[in-house]
Amino acid sequence: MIVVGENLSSLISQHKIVENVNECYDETSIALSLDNNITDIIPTGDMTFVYGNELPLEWIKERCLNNDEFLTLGPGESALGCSHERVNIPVGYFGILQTKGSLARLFVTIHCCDAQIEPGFSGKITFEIVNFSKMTIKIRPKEKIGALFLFKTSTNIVKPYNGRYNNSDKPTIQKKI
Amino acid sequence: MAIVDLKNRITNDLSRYNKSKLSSQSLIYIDQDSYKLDDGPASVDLSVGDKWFFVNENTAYDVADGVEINPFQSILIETKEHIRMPLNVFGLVTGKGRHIFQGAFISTGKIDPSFDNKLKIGIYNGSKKKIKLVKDAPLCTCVFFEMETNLPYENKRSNDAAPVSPKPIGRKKRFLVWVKENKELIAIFISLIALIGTLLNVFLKID
Repeated sequence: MIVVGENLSSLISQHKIVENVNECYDETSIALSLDNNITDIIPTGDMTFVYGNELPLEWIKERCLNNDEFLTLGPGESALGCSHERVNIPVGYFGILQTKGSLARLFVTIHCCDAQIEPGFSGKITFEIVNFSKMTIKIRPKEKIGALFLFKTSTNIVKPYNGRYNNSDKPTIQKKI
Repeated sequence: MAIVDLKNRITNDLSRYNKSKLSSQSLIYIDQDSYKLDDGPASVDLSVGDKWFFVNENTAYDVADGVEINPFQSILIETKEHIRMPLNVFGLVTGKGRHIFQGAFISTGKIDPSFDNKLKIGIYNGSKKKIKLVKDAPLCTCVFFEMETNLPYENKRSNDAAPVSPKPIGRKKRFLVWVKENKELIAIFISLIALIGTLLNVFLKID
């Protein structure tokens, strides 16, 4: 069951799912905006990466955008961003992230089929932003780019998420399996 | 529709209750810590409170050392617990096994969303023996259901301010109390009879 309307707004305040209910409540979802922290992955050398390994540190470039600065993505380019909002998913609920429609229609996606936010997760949600279009796309920090949908789980008896991406306050890079 | 998991959905914190009234995980407020989830998280037991009432009478009597229910008599007992319901949960009240074995019946009742009071529970003694209920003894059990909608408004229910009498009084004494409370009416009634008698007397004399 998806939680919507006043059930959702009340649930957000009850569990402090996000700090500012009025800013984020959007009838059927929780609107999420782009944070200033960006992580670029720029491969060097033979640019080959074996899945399961750890990303070479020299490939990872972290930066923080000013509020008047854009995240600029050329055609086919990608970056790791995160939600400006810190999100807390209560036990008994499950989150699914979606790209905001107006951005998706420009062929930009904020996740690469990794949209699930598990019960008990707490932190900023990492976005895998990819520009699939033939245009250069510029996005300002704090701009609404995502929608988080909450579903009620069939039982509360699940172990709260305490994985390697919990409690993040900036984009989290791929971690070694 | 699901039965509410009471292990996670009862609070005695009024601010938490108020904050969650419309939430999909709204909380039921029970003012006491004494409520029991003996039969698991699906039902909660409520206990005998301070007052009891005769059916169709607003005077409350003090439970004090207990209340005796005569054979084939029914009374109302107020619960010890004050309940506040959120706007999307509905409750049902039913009896406990221990009363069934005594031959007593708890009248089934509903608890509407936004209900805010102590419950008055009807109990009928269908046995041939007196039944005694003491304060804090288990009285009834409640089950709560999640609704598919929120109540669009809050019912305003004030607390009953029925006068509390220490003991129930007999018929004779009740009649005397009634006479005392209605002495003006009785005086008018006697005057009317006297007037009618006088008029009849006058008419009879004329004839």
